Amino acid sequence: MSPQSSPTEVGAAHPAAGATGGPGGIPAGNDAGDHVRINSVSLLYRGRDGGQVHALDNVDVRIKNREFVAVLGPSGCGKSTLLKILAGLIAPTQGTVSFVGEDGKPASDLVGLVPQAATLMPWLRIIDNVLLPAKILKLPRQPARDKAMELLDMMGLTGFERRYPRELSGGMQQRVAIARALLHDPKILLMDEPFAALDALTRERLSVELQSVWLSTGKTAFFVTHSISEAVFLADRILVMSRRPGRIIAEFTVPDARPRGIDHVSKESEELASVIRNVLERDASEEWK
Amino acid sequence: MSSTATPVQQAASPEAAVRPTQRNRVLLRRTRKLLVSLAYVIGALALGVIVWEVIILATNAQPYILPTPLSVWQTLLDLLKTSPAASGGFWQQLWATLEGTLLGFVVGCAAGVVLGILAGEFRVVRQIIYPYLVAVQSLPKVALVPVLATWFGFGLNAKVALVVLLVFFPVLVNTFQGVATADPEKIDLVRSLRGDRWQQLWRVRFFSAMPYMFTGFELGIVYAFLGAVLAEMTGAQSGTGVMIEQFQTNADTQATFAMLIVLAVVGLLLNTIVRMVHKRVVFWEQASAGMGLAVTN
Repeated sequence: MSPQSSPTEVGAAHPAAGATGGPGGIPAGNDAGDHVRINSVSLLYRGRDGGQVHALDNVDVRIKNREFVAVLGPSGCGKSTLLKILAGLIAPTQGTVSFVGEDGKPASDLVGLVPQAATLMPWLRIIDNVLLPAKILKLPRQPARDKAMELLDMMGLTGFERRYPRELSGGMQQRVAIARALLHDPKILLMDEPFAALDALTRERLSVELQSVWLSTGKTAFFVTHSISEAVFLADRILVMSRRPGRIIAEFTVPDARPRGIDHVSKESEELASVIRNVLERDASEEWK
Repeated sequence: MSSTATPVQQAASPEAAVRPTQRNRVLLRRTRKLLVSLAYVIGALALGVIVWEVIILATNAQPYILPTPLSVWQTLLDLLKTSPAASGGFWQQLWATLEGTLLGFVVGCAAGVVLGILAGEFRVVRQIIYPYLVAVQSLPKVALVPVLATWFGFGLNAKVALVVLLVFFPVLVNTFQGVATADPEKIDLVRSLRGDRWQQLWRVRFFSAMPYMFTGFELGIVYAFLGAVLAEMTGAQSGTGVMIEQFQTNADTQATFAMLIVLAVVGLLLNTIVRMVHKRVVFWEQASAGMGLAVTN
C-alpha cells in the first residue's frame, strides 16, 4: 500500500471542539487553498417517535479548491444530510460551514446540486430545465441561453433541447441534471448519489464523463455515494462515515493520476478499495455487538 | 482522454424520435382499437333496447309507465327539431342549464384552485378551512337548495350558487393535495438556488398540483351539471330540469325519457371535453393522480 492511502483514523476521539467556532477559530497554517470548511458540525433532530435522532456528530472536513471529495458510508449514515447542510437546505444544530474564495476571503455559498434522481421538471423542455437556475437567480437571458447550449453540447445532448425529460433515458436525464447544476457557474458541485438509480454500464460511462467535466471546469466536487469503486475512481480524497450518528471514521487519498480510465485500475486503488471495504465492514459489524 | 469536455457518442442519434411510418402504424392501431370499442358500445346499447322492448311485451306496461324505445326516439327527434330561436323551447332550456353549469363550474374551479393553493401554502388557511370542509363534505348538498332559493331566488343565481358549492370542494381538496405533496427533491433544488417561497410555488408546486387540479375539474364538471339540473328541478324558471318536472307532472313519460337521454349525452360530452383538456394541458402526467373520477351523488 502506498503511504498516501493509509487511513487517517479520526472521529471517535475528537477533542471537544467549540460548538460554534467560526472561520476565525481555525489555525491559519493549514488553511491555504481551502474552499469549504465544515467545522464540528452536529445535527440532532426530533424523530417520529419523539426521541432525538443524532444524525451527525462533530463532523470536521476541509475541502480544497478544485478537489474531488467523495463521502462513503452505509445508507442512513447522514452523508446526504451533510450534503444538504452544505447546500444550505438544513441548518446544523452545532458547528458552521463556511466557503472561502481563492483569495482567502469569504466566498459565495451558492452550489450546484445534482440530486439522486435527476429531478428534472417534467413540464419543462430540456433546455428550460437546464435554464432553471438562471430563472430562479434572474440571470440575464441570452448569456444564460448560450451557456445552456454549451453545457448541453458538453454533455452530448445537442439536439435534445426541445425534448421533454420523459423522452430521455435515465442516463441522459442525469446528464441534464449535471448541465443544470453547472449553469450558474457555481464554484462547487454537490452530488447526492447521482448515479445510484442507473444501470452499471451507464453508471460507469457517466463516471468517466463526470471526471472529464470536473477536469475541464475546475470545480470543487463533493460526491456522496455508497459505491466504493465509484468513489475510488472519481475522488482525490475519500471520507468514510460511520453508522448513525454519522462521523468521519477514516480518510483516504487516492493516488492515481488523472485522467483515470475505468477499465484500468491501478494496484494501489484496488488495495485501497479493499481497505475501505474492511473499514466499512468493521463499522457494520459493531452494530451486532 | 484529453482534459477537454466529453463528446458523447451514444447520444448522437435522437433515439426518442418516432419515424413517420411508425407513427402511421400507431395511428392505425389506435383507430382500430377505437372502432372495436365503439362497436361494443353500440352492441351494448342495442342489447339494452331489446331488453327494454321485451320488458314492455312481457309486462304489458302502459306507455306512461314505460314508453317504447321507438316513441322515446320520436319524441327525442321532435325535441331536437325545435327551433333554437323558439323562446322557452328545448334549445333555450338546454342553454339555460348549460349556462348555469359552466358559470358555476368556472367560478367554483377558480375559487377551489386559489383556496387550495392558499391552504397548501399557509397553515392558518388550512386550519380555518378544515372544519368547514368536513362539515360541507358530509352534508348532502341537496339540502342546501331551499336555503339557496331563499337567498338567490329561482333564477340563474341560485343555480350557479349550488353549482359553485358542489364544484368548489373537490377542486379545493385536490389542489391542496397536489400542492402539499410536491416532490421535496424538486423543492430542495429550488431552495438550493435561493428560490424563495414564491419561486417554490411557481416553479414547482403549482405545476406539481396541476394533475390533481384537473382530477378535481373532472369531478367538478360532473357535479356542476348535476347541480344545475337539480337546482332547476327543485325550483327555477327555465332549464332542462324544469322541463323534466313539467313532463312528469303531465305524465309524459316518453318525453321525460327523451330528456334523460339528452342529459346523459350532454353530461358525457362535458366530461369528455374536460378530460381532453386535461390530457392536453397536463401532457407530462403519466399515472393518474388525485382521487380519480368517482361519479357519485
